[in-house]
Amino acid sequence: MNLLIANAKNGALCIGGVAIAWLVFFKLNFLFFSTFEKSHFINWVFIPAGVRLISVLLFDEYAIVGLFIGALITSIGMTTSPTEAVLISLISAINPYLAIKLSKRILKVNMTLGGLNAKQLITMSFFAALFNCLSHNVYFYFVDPEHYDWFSCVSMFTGDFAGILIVLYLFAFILKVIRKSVGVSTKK
Amino acid sequence: MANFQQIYQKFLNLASAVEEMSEFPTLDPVEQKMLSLLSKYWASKQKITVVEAMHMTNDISTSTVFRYLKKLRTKGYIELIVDELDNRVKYVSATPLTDSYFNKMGKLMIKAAS
Repeated sequence: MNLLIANAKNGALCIGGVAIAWLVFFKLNFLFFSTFEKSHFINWVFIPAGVRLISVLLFDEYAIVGLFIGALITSIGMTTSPTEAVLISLISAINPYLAIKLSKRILKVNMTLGGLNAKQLITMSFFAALFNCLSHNVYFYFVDPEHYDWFSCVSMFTGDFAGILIVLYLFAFILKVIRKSVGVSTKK
Repeated sequence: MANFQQIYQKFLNLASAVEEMSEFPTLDPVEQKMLSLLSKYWASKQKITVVEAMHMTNDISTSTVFRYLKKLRTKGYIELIVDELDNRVKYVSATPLTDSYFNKMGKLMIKAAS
């Protein structure tokens, strides 16, 4: 029973962490890149896409729940109905998981990401952005085929890919600063 | 079940891949040795063919050298330049990445010494 409670606690911690990270990066995206916004759901730079990638790589299934909660909170007020909010949040949460599972299998990356290199990480980012833009745009097309603009697929892909790269480079920069501040040199 | 040990392992591997994005592609000890052997030729402005490179050391077998040359090429540390007169001859040449790698190594050496 104690083990079950401890596991539930750990799971909740992961889910909560992912949801908070999503909300923080969503807010940051609004603050810094709102000028690049094309519509409510499409931005030429979308940094929460980086949260999607990193959280799925680290937390697997827990990330889906965390991303769903985060996306649900941010999509409220942007959607016309609660059903639309749930559907878009589901797409947003499940997509990166599927994209990363598939790319991990293709690139033969193991469960603990052992031996993962920069090239593979960029390929994964590409897959994640591609999956996300395709699935969102298929949904947008079926909801309103008359007003649908296929170019939004390009802008969404660009936004996601750029966002992921920004977050990854930010991550690298933070690691560098931490290493410098504690006086640990990099491996090269 | 959330396994924090596994999550931490994943984090370390992810951090290493992310660092690689902003740094040089990682080199294993054999690749490092190959580059230092090749650098002798490059430093003296000598051209070295792939066949010559395969025989530049007795410590590593020719097939292993060839395999590592391909690896270094994939990582962007060397490029193969075809001879103008004979298409069969290819020269192993340094790339701007190799130059910046050696520059960084030089700086690190001075830093370590001081």
